[in-house]
Amino acid sequence: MDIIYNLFFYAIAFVLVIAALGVVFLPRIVYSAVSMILAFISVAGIFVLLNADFVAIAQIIIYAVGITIVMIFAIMLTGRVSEKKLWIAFAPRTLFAFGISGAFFVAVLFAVTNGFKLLLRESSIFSTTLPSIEIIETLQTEGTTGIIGKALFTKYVLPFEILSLLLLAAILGAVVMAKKDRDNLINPTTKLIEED
Amino acid sequence: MSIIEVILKIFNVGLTHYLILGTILFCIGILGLIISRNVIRVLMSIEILLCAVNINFVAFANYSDINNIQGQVFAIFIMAVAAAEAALGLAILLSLYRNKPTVDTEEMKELKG
Repeated sequence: MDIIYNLFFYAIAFVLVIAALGVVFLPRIVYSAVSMILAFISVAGIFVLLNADFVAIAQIIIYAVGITIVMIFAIMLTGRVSEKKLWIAFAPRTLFAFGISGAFFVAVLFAVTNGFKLLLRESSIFSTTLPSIEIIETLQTEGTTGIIGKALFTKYVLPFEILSLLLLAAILGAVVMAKKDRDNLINPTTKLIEED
Repeated sequence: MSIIEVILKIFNVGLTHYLILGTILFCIGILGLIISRNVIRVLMSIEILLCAVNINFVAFANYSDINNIQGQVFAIFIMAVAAAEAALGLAILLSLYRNKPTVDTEEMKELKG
């Protein structure tokens, strides 16, 4: 069982890293969007491996469907054909970005493995307990939805309500900002209409 | 301890492996955030950053807080904030595109950035 779990983890992690690299380095922006769908679905697979079924389904619904559709609409609404091939910038900040992210990766790797020593041991520097088999069976038969729902409506009820206000404000703000300003139109299409 | 046992121990998946995966995703996100020339790709990189954080939260919830999984609750919160951020970011992008029809980050220099 452990070997199968490990195989699934490495397969999903490989697909996830390749898809995330594809989002950054694919030349056309539409291919990046498709690669992003693959990355989000792989993240949902990682969540399933971590006994988080509700979060995995929410990940697919929100990220892999919702946000991706909004991104594809933005791609279709903006950009001329020549601009859909904008790739990475060849500027000094590119080298800077490679250096920063590489240094960050090495630093965090050094930290989570306690100076590369913990790779040889089973334990971790964090106080972890491997989930027992009974708890995992309960989670896999009953699901995590009940526990998350209870936590959301008892302990975290105030952040939950604030979050609903935030979503309302985000919807209203998006409508206000994306609405056409009728007073000063600089849009080329409306200039054509004025010339008529 | 033979070499094969050491290799098997290193590749046995635990919390550390999930943290390393989250770190790799985070670094890719930062890289894409800085080096890409398309504004929509910058927004995609931000979503990848938030996914990396979610992986860390859920991994800690599984390995150290399995009885009352609070990391998953925080992952749900982060997802809601990410949805709001995507909607607002794309609204700003559309409004910017209406004033200056380009999605090139090199052309957006009005703030002297």
